[in-house]
Amino acid sequence: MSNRAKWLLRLLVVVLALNIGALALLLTTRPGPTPPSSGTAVRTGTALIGGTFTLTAADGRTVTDQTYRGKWLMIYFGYTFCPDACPTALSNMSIALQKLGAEAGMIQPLFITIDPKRDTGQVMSDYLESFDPRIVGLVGTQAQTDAIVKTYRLYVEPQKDAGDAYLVSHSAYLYLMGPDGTFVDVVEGATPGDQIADSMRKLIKEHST
Amino acid sequence: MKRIIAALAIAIGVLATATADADPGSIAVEHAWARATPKGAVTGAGYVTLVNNGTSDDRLLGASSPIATTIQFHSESSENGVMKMAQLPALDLPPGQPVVLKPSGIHMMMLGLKQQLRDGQTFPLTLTFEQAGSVEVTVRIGKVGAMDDPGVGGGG
Repeated sequence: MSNRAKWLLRLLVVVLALNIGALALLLTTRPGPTPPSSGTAVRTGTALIGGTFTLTAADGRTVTDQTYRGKWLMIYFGYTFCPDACPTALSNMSIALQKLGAEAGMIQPLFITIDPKRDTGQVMSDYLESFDPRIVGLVGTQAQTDAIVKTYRLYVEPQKDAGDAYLVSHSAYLYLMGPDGTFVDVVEGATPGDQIADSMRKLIKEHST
Repeated sequence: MKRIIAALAIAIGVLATATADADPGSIAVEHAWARATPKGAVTGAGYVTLVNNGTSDDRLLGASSPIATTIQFHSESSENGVMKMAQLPALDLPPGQPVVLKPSGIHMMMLGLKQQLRDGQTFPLTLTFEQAGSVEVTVRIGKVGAMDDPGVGGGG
């Protein structure tokens, strides 16, 4: 082994040792998961999703995150120009609401557009006629939309160079928010409605005990 | 029984139109269906299953219908929960490998809809293949969020 190789080997050993040391330090100083105490839900790192927002319903009334406090929120962010994924998600939401029966009364389903340029209140309410009537469509100004996209950590990327017929790549989750407005879980929009209903029922049960 | 006869009639019709053009009957067009569209929607989605029964490669180059200004082929993928669509210029149809267009997968995006697509109705669709030429099919319309061909099993 040449001197150069030996030297490199030594360096490697030192770097590895430092890494192990750093890891050990991290593991010992970071607080471990707190065991759940009765009555309080433990959430780690989930408070980053969701928060305040101001939008407008199809009938012109202003809706904020406070409007539905006390109810669970099931939110789908999408747009009406979307031919496949959005009707799938809204249809799954509609089926889930029907499957939930009386429990659906604890939930406010929302369809929030990420494309306010094309989706006016009227466009949204017409579009939603084809889905469960409990789903409320919300639109915002571009600034209000940008704000909720940021608050909910959504990925939204309109297609360029497509004129008026642009598509928008977007987060395709249903966001489930607890009655206190905090983030609880996400379900993929393509999940069949009965499975969404099951997840929702489970979450409501977990959070009410 | 009526449904079977209707399906057979459609199938024969499809074959007849297919054979009328170039390469006789090498492409089978099955399960041509679309979703009903919500009120005011200017786009819609259509699906079809294509089987190349020939021995050489073919490609689906385009689709057109009097009900839409343009029809594009789109792939759809979900990565880390982000739904992305990409336009495909054509669909490759290797022999013996069915290409299935379906919700949450490759689909036909119909742009500039001239009418609302209603559950239970049909519309004509012309598919243009590189080798097989043009094939006209009748597209059945299912429910708004339907996941399957309304002509199969009566489900939805």
